[in-house]
Amino acid sequence: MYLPFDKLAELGGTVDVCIIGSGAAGVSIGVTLARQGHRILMCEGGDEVFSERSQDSYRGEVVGDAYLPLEASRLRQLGGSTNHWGGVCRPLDPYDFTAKTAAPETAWPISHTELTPYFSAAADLLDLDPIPADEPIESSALSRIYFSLGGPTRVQLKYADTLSESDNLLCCLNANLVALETTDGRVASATFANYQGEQHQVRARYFILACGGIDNARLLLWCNQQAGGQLIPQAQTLGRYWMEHPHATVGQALIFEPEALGLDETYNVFLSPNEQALANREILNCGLRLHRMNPEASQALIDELSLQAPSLGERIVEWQAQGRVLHGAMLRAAWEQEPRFENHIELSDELDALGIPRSRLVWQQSALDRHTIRESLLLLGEYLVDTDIGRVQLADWLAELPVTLPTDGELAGRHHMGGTRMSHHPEQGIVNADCRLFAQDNMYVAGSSVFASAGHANPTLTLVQLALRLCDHLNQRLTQA
Amino acid sequence: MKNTPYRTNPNVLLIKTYYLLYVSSIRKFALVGWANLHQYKLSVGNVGAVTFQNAAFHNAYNTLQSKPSKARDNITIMLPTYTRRRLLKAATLAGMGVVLVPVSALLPAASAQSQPPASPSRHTPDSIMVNGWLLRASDR
Ligand SMILES: Cc1cc2nc3c(=O)[nH]c(=O)nc-3n(C[C@H](O)[C@H](O)[C@H](O)COP(=O)(O)OP(=O)(O)OC[C@H]3O[C@@H](n4cnc5c(N)ncnc54)[C@H](O)[C@@H]3O)c2cc1C
Repeated sequence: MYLPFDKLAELGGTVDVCIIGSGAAGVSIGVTLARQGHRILMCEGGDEVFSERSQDSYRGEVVGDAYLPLEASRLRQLGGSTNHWGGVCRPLDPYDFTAKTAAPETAWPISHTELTPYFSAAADLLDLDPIPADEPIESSALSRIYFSLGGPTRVQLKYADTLSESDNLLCCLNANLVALETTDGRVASATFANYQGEQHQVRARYFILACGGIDNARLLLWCNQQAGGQLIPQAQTLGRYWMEHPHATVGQALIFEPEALGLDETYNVFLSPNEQALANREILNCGLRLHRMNPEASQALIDELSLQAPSLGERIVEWQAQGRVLHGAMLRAAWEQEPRFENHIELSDELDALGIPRSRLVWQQSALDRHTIRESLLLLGEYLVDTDIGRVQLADWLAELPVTLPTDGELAGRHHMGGTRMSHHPEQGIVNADCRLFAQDNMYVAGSSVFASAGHANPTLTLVQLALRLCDHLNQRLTQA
Repeated sequence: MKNTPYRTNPNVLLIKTYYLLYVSSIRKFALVGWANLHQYKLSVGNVGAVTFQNAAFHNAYNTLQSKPSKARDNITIMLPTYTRRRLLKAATLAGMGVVLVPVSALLPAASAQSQPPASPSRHTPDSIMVNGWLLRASDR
């Protein structure tokens, strides 16, 4: 049921769980816990549709590598960024949860087996297509991998009935978190403000911050500052280890034997280095996608390749005379970014209309990030050369060292991860393995901000798996009490 | 060394090798390629050296003779790891009137941090990169 903002004051101590934010994370938790019979309040800063006013709070500064404007890479409204996401999903690989020689900080405090039990419920929630198991490609260091590419679920629409009718799930729009009050290791209340400057305090047994991969860190930085450091006494990693998935067109390929790569007519094929190759080359995870070119573009590619490789050109002419069709493919990639302390969200000096300092994102890709994409593409190129089933051309910025990243185009996936990192130790992270703030017994964080590392897979399935795992944890605490 | 990132590990050395081709008939040196900060983890008793592979050499030589200088700049020779003795043996190509002179620098990885790491040794000995294309030497 929708709750008018001024009714927040009348709730008293009746709320079991107060969820702040209504994106994929917030709605997953709200709907699940409400179904289990708990009394849930979900406070959403935006309205049913996004407005300049609510979106303005997402404006911020970017320092470092080229990145998208912060207000353009997320939506501040009911349903959050699921109102414009692409719906591409795949779970993280088991290997993603482990420490790598090249970047030990990639280790999670939990293994993938902790999330596996929540896969099918998360897939139902996001209406995913079945995701087949990876298939190793013979005599190569690559596997063919799969994603769910189904229509993107808009949680606001999918759960429209629950949001308007459930007695257990109260949803308050235009309710922006502006402060958290803490006493004796518990968050006692949260203060919400609307755009008219009215404020109300809400008390609840448990609080969950689910404001996305940038504002989870921003709001905790602000609330901790307001609470004199009592919310997160060991805040050295707050906002830190922020990550994205760099995305780019990384080259092109001419494929002589499409069937060897499992390429069909649609050509929607994803490849990824296998674990052994990742370990041997000391690189992080990477997904390569092949897009089939039209016949004219393929022929142009053949002409270019023949200029550089006349002998091969002669073989191609012979093949074409025999009626063989060669396919050109554009190569796109999304790859893992090393979790680095230096990449972070901080508070800027400028305040938004609610009086909260705007975010400043300090972000740079490391040598390892660049190494990862170059080596991944070389793995594909070497496989094609070894087996003589094609040739790869690296994009100019990758072919020559040092790799200089593009400053325009796709840049990144709009996947905001890290900033409130999950860890076993308060000096190395902000939440524990249950996603709870180390110093607060009743405050949790949901969303990809808790990721310790990012793999290459789009983050929403994993963050929903984590959200459902948090529901189990809270359900247990609520029923035990 | 376990779990120390290679980029910050002072025990890990990077080999940067430039390849100068000396053509005796025209008495000229030319830079035909370089191993772009190939990385090798060197441990005592297993000091690797880098040399070229014949097919790659022929390709570099032909390119030097026939291509404009812009194309020459783009050659990167992919190199397998060999012993130092084999390096010296291979470097003198008697009878062809040419010598490929490798000029290598060993850098502690820690001091080369600002450089992006480059390819470790490859498994395909006869591949070359020309204008971004990863090719077999015989493709040319
Ligand atoms: C264009 C685009 C395409 C994408 N495509 C994909 C894809 O194909 N696959 C994939 O896995 N991921 C994709 N993503 C990422 C995906 O959208 C996010 O991972 C996911 O939506 C994050 O969910 P969330 O609930 O953690 O955060 P959000 O969706 O950001 O939700 C946060 C919510 O908190 C609210 N909020 C913010 N501040 C406050 C406050 N102070 N008080 C109260 N409420 C507040 C916001 O209004 C919002 O509703 C895409 C993102 C974009 C932008």
